[in-house]
Amino acid sequence: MVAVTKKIPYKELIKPLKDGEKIAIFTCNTCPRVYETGGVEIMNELAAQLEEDGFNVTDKIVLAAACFENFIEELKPLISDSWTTGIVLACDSGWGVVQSHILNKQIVRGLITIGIQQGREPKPVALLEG
Amino acid sequence: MIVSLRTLTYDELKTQLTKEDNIVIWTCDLCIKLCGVGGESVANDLAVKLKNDGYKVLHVEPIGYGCHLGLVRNRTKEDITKGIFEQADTIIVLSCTDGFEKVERVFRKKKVIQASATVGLGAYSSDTGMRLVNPFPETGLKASVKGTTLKEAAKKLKMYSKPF
Repeated sequence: MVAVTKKIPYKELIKPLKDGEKIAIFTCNTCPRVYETGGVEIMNELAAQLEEDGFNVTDKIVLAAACFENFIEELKPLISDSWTTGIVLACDSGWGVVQSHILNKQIVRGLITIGIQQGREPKPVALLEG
Repeated sequence: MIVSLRTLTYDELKTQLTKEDNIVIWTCDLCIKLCGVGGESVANDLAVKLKNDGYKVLHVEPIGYGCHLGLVRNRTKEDITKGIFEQADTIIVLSCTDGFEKVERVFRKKKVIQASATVGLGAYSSDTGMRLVNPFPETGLKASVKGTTLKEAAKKLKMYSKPF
């Protein structure tokens, strides 16, 4: 079950954000945790860095598997409405799921999907638009 | 989730077997279960089918994460499975391609049969089932949030989305 991802450099990640903007971070807790691109620890590190840089992280959401739509549906009532941009630490499929379930917000990728682990090298997949 | 489809028909699978083979059916119990072409229940059904056709199926081995090399290797060491795999000479693998390669790597001296292959990344919901969202480019299928149903993908790729 291993989608291979890498982090988007922090400077690039914060480009679409406005000064002091309220942010939600969504993290998948499966494949990205294996590659240390996501998971609770990485999410907390990112939140701390964003806070340090003047952003306001209002929500930190851990999805057992971001590509499993039932999880985001179950957590939706617990997510506040106070943020404007969501950063998703998940593969492209997970980002697509979050984006399609959280409407009227800017949902940005926090990771680059390289592909699927197969043999020694990850095999690339076609990525979603946007 | 990794999306995998079945690559062989039951008749094609049988052409790779002999009645003398000591068979283990190996199945990942995660992504491929959600794709409907693997998982313990599918593997048990295949075992019954093969036994009814006169093949020697010794065992069905489910694995929580078939893509985890350490877990695959453990099967050769743990008391509960070691003897079974020493006796087996043929392993039918129901898993993603990565999982198949791990089994092939660990059980080098055995006949390891690939019965399914990965076609891309998917998303799952209990309403829609598994959908292919990020296909491998060579499939010719497009990436989309709505995704391609496994039935459609199988038809296009000349593979199978149902169990044996």
